[in-house]
Amino acid sequence: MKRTVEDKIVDFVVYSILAIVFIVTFYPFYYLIIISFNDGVDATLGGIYFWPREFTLVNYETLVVDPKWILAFFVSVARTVVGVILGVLCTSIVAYGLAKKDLMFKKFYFALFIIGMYVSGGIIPLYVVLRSLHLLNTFWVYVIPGMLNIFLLFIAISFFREIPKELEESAKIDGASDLRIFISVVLPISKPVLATMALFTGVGQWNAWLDSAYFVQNENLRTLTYKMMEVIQKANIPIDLQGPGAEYAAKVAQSTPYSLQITAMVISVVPIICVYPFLQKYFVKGATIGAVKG
Amino acid sequence: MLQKVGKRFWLFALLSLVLLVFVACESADTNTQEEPSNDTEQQTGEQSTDSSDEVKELTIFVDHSFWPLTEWSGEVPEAITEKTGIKLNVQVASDAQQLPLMISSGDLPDLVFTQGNFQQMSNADISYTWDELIEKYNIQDFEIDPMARVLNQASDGKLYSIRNGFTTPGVFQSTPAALGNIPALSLRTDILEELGNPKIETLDDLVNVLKEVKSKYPEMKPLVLNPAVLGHYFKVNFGASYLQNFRIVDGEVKYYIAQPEQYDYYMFMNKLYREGLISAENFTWKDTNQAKAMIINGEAFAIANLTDMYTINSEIKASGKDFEISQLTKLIGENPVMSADSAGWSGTFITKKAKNPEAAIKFLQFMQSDEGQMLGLWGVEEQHWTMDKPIEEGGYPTFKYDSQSAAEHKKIGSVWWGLLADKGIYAQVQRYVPGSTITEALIDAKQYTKGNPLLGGIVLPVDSDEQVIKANLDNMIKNEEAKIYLAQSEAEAKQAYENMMKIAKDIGIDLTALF
Repeated sequence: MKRTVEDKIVDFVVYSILAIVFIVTFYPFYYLIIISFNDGVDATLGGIYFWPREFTLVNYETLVVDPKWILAFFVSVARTVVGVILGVLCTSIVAYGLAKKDLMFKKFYFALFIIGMYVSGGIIPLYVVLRSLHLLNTFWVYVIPGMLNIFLLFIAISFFREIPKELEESAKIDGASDLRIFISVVLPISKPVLATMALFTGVGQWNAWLDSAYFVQNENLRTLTYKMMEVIQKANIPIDLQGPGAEYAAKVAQSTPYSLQITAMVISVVPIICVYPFLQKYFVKGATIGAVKG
Repeated sequence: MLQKVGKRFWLFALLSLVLLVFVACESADTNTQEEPSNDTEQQTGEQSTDSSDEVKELTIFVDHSFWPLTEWSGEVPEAITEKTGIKLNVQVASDAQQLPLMISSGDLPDLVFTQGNFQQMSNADISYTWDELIEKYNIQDFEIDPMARVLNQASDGKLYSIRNGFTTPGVFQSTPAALGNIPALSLRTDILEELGNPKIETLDDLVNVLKEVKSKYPEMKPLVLNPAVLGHYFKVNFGASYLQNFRIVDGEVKYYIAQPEQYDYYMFMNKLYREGLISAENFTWKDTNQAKAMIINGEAFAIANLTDMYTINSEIKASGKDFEISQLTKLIGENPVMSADSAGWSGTFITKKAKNPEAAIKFLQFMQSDEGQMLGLWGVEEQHWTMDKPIEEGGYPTFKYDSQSAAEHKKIGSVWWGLLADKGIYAQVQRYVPGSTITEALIDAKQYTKGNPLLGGIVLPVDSDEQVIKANLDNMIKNEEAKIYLAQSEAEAKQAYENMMKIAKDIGIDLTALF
């Protein structure tokens, strides 16, 4: 079919907008990368837009060879992997149960979860609960509190409701138990929603740093994002600090170059960015689950 | 098939990695879990005898995210452990919310070193008073300066900690080598030479030099201000307080902006801006490195900063440039005043959760003793420094390492641990490096040092009306003073100043006289 002038104009406008959106979203990442390869003092002057002005690998050398950063990387990987596996498993099991129309006390459960989603007790009660559970200062403090994600729970419920009842009924006739049906029938056909849950949980796990700051004191359990925040925080002199305190703070703050802070961000962000494209196709499918009711 | 093998391989690799981290974390956990049991043993042991050779471990939470030492390691901490039998397990705050969370949950370590939560920690439910521990464990020779006692007294009249860095004016003046810290102005010496080394003895002289630089080097910024200290150097020269505290104005105690000298300062800063000697952009900087980077890269002529010209010069040299900056060694205002109102900044608390309060108070006793101060702040005698005579007689340490280098302090562990119970005077003597430009400037500033620590010791009760007024004033000043700095004419600047004072009055600045 011959393209009309109108088609061409529309294409041009659409591509132009997409190009702008691409630049606006991509450039900040690109900027971080070029600054991370630039000399620290020089980077502070600004005026670097497209490529490093004084190329150096010193920033990466400083962080990558630090054993604490290496350990933090593995802790982050571990919490992400374990957090995703347990989070997806636990949330999907609960969602599968709640998706059943004949579940007893269903309204009560829903009310409970909805309240839980909108009402937060705050960090102090959370801290006290975690302490009572003896989770503080352990690896499991990263994983257990996030095993049930209410937002993902509702996405999964919507998905499981769409699964034809006949599939489960036929499995039941063949003698399968509920757990067997869930594992052998429901999960294999739920890849889009599982991938969506895995992606959300994984990104959340990877980015989390507050739990590492507030609930963990053991330096061997610090995560990569915590280390990144540490580098950034150490470079900031508290404004309310005056007199000798400010003098001491300034002395050490000045030893953290701007480019080193940026490098810490790049190191923390790049691994999760690498995973993103592989899960994107599932993410699009999963995000639209339940959006349209037939 | 190959795909299957690939998947299995990756699954196996991933699980192995997770397992490996678990093992590492588990062993780390085991280590930390073992510690309390050691402490329990120590505690039990101590009831019978405290002179055990066993090293006791105390956990300290440092409520300063900039604190550079996250481990008790280095020659100085080792020497402290040798002297006290105590080793610190160090936790550094990741942000300002962490300690309030710990206080609320009651999950506190043995020791807490804080400035921001000093009042909250001064509570009988949270911390031990030093006096009760001194009495309970019959500790002899624990001297507490009477003025420090008054300044740090909590609202219940008890003493839970003493802010560090406080010296009485009498001790400061009578110790010849004791030097305060001052805001500094440093200029490029090569450009000054090219200009014929003009005299800079007054603020007008300085303005003229900056103007000359602007006309001869139009691409260069004449003056950049470190945002952490901004106009502090000029405040000192105008005799205005650069500390956000209370001052005596017309016989009454009032908040610092009520000082008439502040007006002169604001007008001068506005003049610098209107003449193009400082930029509007400078007031948007948050990063202290920005002003310094402009100097190092040769894009600015002068910098208003802290007294760290040596650090900047070493970075200029490292970046391959062949110029230097030098700090002005004389204050150039007509009536300069260096505020000496500070009642200290941060203090160490022994919490009610301390496993071994006796060990904790004995540790603090040592750290605030002369021996502990010299060890903590300067390093190990003979190994790191020597001194010919006592500081009261004009003595000062001659260091065997670069005593101005933050990297050196971090390496050997000096300075920082001394701050836990810093009585001010030894940190002040440490600044004395004969023949150095900085020392010359500090000696000059000493003659203008005036103040009343009682004013610095005014602490408004948490959540009181007075504290709300002060917080509102602080927020208002941040917004309004920028309007003065960046006014387009002198009349506009004057108007902006009057507006600021009117808003201050509406907020309740006059009530500060009643505090």
